[in-house]
Amino acid sequence: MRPLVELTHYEMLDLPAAATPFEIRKAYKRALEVYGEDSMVIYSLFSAEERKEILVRLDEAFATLSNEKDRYEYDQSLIQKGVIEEGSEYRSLGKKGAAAGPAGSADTPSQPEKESPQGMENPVVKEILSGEDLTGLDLKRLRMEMGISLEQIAKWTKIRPGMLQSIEEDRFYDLPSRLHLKSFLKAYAQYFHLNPESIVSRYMKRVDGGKS
Amino acid sequence: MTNIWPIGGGKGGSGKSFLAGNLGIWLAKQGQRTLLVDADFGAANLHTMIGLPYQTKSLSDFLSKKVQTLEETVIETRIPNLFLISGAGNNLDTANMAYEQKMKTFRALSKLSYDFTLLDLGAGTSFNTIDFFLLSDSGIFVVTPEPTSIENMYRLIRAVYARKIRQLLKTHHFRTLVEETESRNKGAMVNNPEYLLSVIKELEPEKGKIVEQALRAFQFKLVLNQLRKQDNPQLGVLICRIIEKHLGLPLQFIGNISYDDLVHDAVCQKVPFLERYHHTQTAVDLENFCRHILGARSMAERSGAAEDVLEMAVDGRTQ
Repeated sequence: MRPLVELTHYEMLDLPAAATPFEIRKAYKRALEVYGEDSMVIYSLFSAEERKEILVRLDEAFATLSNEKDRYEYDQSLIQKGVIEEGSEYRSLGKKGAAAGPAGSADTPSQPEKESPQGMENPVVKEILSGEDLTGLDLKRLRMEMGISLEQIAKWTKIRPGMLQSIEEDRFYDLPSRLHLKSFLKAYAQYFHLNPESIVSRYMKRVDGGKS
Repeated sequence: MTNIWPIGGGKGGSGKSFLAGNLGIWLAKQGQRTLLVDADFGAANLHTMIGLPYQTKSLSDFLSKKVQTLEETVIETRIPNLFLISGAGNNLDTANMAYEQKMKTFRALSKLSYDFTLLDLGAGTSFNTIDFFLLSDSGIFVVTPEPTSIENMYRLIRAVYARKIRQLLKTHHFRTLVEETESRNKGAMVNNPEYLLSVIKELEPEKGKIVEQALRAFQFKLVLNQLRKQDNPQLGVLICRIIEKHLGLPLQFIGNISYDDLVHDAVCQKVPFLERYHHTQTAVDLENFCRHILGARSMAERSGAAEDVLEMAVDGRTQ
């Protein structure tokens, strides 16, 4: 195996520097499959240590690229090293200085700006999230409080509005498989910079409880 | 440059002879003078694949000096433009060809003038198999979606690239490189080309660059054969990406060829699959594969880069 340090986080995930947060999440999931223990793609190619090393680097890549601030800093370091060209990176932080940047164009889904309420700091949001369970209505109230439309979330998460509505209205029979539902909820939470684990587990508790 | 295509896969039963035979027939029908060489010594049966009976004339006549030139071992087939050098009837001596015999064969092979020369290679990664890859800057790896096949394919690709590096360097040079690589990677497989490449790049950046460029110029291709409905159609693309990413070696994915029980029928009837079963998905896939190889030829002719580097390196070799 080539030394992994030769690969950037983007190369680890097979992504261009302009990848959207959604693409990063998707690429990470895909990579976990490709490098998984039972994956046919890499069968016999790597030693156990090499595979472990790859997985560590993958996690590192995902952790860095899925955090706005870390990603911005990482992009800057790549630009300085001349690995990527300035202007080719996804700028979700530095939009002010880069009106013409890829994130500024109308059809690129972008995450809410810094000035939009940071989830946990808003007292109303705090109140909504303080309960033990989390209902679809809670999610809807949260979204209204933030002034975000279903379509906006749909665009960024690439989940269709009808599905988001089913989640918000607790229409359990219309919901997809557990696996998909969990990833939808996670995306929803990430859109609002909320802790995805807590959102997912509290919502799922009701889904599971309702079925038994 | 002679247009030689080694076809290997590391594992028996992956469809090398089937693909070589059908590719040969298709190219001949396009008006390309095509020579099929059965280099699967000890298990040769390419003649059967193209509907010919057991051949008494074969490569071993040339090796045993029964005939003077390689041309004399060439058999005309029933298909216009298609020729065969059979490997049938080769005794164990051919399967374990000596170095001088091998070089003699290689020299003679690269002097033959055909539009296409397709080498149907045996399974395994013995030098007698992988050395056929040294004749060309292109080659086709055949793999089926099974761990056993994939394992052998990775082993073969590494062996071929390591052998290519060996070819590009002088003998003593290569030995030093291997020793250095061994001492750095205790217990690692030293014939891993990516290790060799990273060591030489560090020790002698100039030479490392030349070797890397030469390796990059090779047009190796991967074809995924016998893809069944339940298999992941992305497998071949992913394998190529992984090889590029982690071994730093270029490998182009040609495409999938669907599995079909009718292939078995065609082989049993000794008829060309493409003709008898042209309505099948497998035939469509096969034709796409053939068209790709026909197109790749003109590309190779345009860029002589790999050839130049190769010649330069080979000239510098001590033996």
